Amino acid sequence: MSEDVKAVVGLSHVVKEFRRGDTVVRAVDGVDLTIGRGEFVAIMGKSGSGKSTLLHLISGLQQPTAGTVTLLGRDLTRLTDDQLTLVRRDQIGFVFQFFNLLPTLTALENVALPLLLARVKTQEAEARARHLLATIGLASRAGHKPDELSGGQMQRVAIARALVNDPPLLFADEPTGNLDSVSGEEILLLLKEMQTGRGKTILMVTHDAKAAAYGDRLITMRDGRITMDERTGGSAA
Amino acid sequence: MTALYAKFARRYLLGKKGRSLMTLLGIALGVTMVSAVMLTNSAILASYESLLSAAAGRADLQVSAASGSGFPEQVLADVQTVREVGAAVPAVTSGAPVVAGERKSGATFYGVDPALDTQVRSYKLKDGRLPRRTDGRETAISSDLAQALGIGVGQTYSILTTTGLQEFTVVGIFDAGGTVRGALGPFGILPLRTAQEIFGKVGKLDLIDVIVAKGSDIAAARERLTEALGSRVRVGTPVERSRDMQKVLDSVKFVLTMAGSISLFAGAFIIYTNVAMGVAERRRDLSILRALGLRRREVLSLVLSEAGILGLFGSVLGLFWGYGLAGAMARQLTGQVLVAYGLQKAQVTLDGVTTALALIVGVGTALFAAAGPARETVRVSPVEAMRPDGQGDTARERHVVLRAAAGLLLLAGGVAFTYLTWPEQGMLSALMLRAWGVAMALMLLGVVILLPVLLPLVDRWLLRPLLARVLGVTGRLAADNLVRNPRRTAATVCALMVSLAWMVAMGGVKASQVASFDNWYNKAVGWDLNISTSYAGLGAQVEIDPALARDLAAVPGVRLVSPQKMTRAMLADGDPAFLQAFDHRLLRQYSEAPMEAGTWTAAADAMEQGGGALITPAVARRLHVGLGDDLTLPAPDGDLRLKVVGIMTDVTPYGGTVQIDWQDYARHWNDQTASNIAVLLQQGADPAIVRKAILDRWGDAMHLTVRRNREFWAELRAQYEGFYKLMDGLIWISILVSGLAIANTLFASILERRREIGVMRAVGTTRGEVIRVVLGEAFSTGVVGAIFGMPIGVAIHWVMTSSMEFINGSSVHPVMGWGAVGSGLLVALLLAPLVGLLPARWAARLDVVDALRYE
Repeated sequence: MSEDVKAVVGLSHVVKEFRRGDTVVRAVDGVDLTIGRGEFVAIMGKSGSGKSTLLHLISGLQQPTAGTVTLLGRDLTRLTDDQLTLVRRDQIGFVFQFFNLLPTLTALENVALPLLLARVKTQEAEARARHLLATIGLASRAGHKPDELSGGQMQRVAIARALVNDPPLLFADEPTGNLDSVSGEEILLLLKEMQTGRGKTILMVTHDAKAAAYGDRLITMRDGRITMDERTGGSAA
Repeated sequence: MTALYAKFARRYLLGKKGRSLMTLLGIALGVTMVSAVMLTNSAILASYESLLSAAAGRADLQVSAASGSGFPEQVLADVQTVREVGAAVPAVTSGAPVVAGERKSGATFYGVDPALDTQVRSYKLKDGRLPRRTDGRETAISSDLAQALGIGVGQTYSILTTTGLQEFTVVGIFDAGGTVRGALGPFGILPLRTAQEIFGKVGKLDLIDVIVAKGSDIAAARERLTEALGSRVRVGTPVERSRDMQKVLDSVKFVLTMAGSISLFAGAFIIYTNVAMGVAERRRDLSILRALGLRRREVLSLVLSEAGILGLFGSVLGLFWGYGLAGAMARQLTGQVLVAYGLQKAQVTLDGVTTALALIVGVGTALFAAAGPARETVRVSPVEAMRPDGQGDTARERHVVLRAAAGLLLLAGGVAFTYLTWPEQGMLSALMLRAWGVAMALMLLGVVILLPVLLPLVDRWLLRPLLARVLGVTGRLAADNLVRNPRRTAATVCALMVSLAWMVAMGGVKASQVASFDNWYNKAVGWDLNISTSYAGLGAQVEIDPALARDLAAVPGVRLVSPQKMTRAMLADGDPAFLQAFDHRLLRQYSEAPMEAGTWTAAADAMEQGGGALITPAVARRLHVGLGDDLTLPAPDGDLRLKVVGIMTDVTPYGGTVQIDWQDYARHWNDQTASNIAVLLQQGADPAIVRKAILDRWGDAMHLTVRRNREFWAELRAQYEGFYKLMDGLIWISILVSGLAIANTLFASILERRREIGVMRAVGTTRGEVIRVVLGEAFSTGVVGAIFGMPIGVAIHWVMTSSMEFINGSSVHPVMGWGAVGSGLLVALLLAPLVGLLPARWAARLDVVDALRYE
């Protein structure tokens, strides 16, 4: 297997600039990065360091000002908006800090949503969602709406939603940022399990060093550049 | 602090130009319709009063004819014998077409005794003098008539008389804006005797202006005159005669006021959604202000002051638009409906009361609509409001049971009130008409209150399954979004619902009127040609000399000639009605009156014998008479007792019709002139050739109009169309406002769900799917609007049509207005998705990262 196939994410001389009035802000400044299949990568850095922007570029939510971003061998800079959407739908699972579940849908419906958007039949989609909820210990909460769940439960539902399409990549943006320490640890263990048990590639942005310790690779960013990229071995798990 | 408020308000309103403009438009359109209706009503009433008082001059009392054909001249002597009468000035009036060279116009003429007339009327002469009492060929005319005909003092022009065109000389021109104001339109005076001769009123008068003797009481003089003159004439103050106009206006005003209120209703909702959206958007900003020390009351003032500013500017804009619209409405009404009352035009003036009311209505609605969202903003603690996950929550409906009970109570109360006050006898008074309007408004309010309660049920049982089946998960999301904020959705639905209800109601009324009219016309109007002297559009008609009828019989192809009289009569209850006189031996050969009670054959047999009356249901109601009963009809020679031989269908809106035989009319009204002449052709005769023969011989001399049967039908149908076009205009403005409200609510809904849309996009929802969600939401709004609006519209239509008989006297049978129902459905199903396109596109193009941002 060549190095290219093993690499699920590749960034080459990536620059991302934003215009704020008359000022141009360079959020990501010439980043080169390769992430291999099955890695759990934690990205750390202060506010404004460019870590979230990096995540957005890798997921195709934003396009770089310069450089190329490849995901599973496809150059994201050459894709249309709809093609990028399909990449996100089929290849990436997202976990957000504030869970971002749709308030009008039940836990089951929230988890099944990506499948339904992919035109999977409702019965099959709900069966898969139900199975996944059972796997993460929320079978009994399937019929509840988000406002009837705790923070930890909501985040677990969000992880189930991210996994329901069985995407090879899981992107988590501060997944424990809005949780108490016990719930946070449960979520991190769940993510680790997804890496080790299911072979998912995980990219997690976090402020929290304890959370970062669950990854087996730690990237530190500052002023849009990678200042450190080290193997940690996932010691916390 | 005021400066700070002003700064915040200015920055916000100018920063969100598009949204501010939409709110401004919503308020302006609402105020436009309300002020247009108010200005039109007051212009028409004021013009009519001005017409009467201008014509009456300094008269304290007026003795006027109970019917259109005047009263015997001897009445003048009777008036003069009353001790309380200081001066009595006789007059004859008629509208007449006038011609000078190629120029034509219509004018109102007063035949007066110049020497006596100056006691009551003063003429501000611009040129020349008044006509001499003895010179029958002299006239003085108003400056606008002189201008219309392009003539001056010393020049001649022709007036159409009962016997044809006759030439007169202008000896004076007076100021049209002086004594005789705009309401009369072009105006002229003639010597009394001349007017009597040329308008077929020899030995008759139309009016006697009375100045009460010095030291006498007007009320006492009136009482004495009424005693002395009996029922053959009316005695009253000049302004009292405007009561007739008021009655005609009441039903028109009812419809127009409803339309205006509906638009304001829709306008109020758009203001509500806009303000709610503004508050939702700035929830965090306002909370920061609160965290920095601004008190609840101050935040409330800030939000309300923004709404107030928009309300003020919107009202001013609406007032000016309303002024323009009122001009068009007044022209339409005077040109078609009110010209029969001699009202040629109504001058719209922007008065203080309307201006103040428009401002109160516009600003008041804006403040009322803003108060709810503003209170909700300050109720939440600043910390909670600043939390990013505080956005997009589902609003829970509170007090559901209380709300349902209040809504049902209002609905049931309105229905019960209408049912209990439904008149079995008599006509509906103006006061009761207003009460019905209030009941209808309360019923609508009931539906408005009930809607947020009913909305989730409709969503669960209809929209969610329907949209899920058609659009899949995007459809389900669309249906769910609809009930996220039931109160706001209900407000938007209400705007559409009310507009649709009005569209269906008016469409139904129109369809029923047109169907009833067509049924009536096809039976009752059977002549081949109809001859009159009226100029279409000029509103001036001169009666026709009976000699013409005799001559017409000799025209080749003519089988039968039947003079017909159309005038007004005062019934025993003191209110006017339409009076028709036909020669029933002739009439039954070409017409058959559609009957509500009795048979046409029996009625026509009885009418031929004389002493019979065919009446309409409204007259039966007013006078509490039925088939076979006796009826008293005040005639110029005293009370006439007639037997009711049949009750026939009526389609005219003049409070009922009495039909008598020509011989009875000629004898008791002492009048042989005809309003028009019906002609029946011999079999095989070509109507076009006969018409040409008539016009070749008398067309120029008598300025005749000869209509074929279907032409007359088309003219009358066009009158209906004209009125409903006006209504359609108002309805479409209201629908436009509803469209703005829907677009606004969708913007508000998207704004609140920005993060959610970001998430959906992040997890794989394409732009097309986002568009489908928003359009599905818009479509659902339309469907709910139709579900509630259409049945309400049908109910309003049924009530309005069925009650027409006791509002304006026309017996109209309700039929479904399928055309309007179809148009309403199309509007409901297409308007919402159409106006939803822009918000949908906006939602689809939201920057995902920006939408997901927490800070």
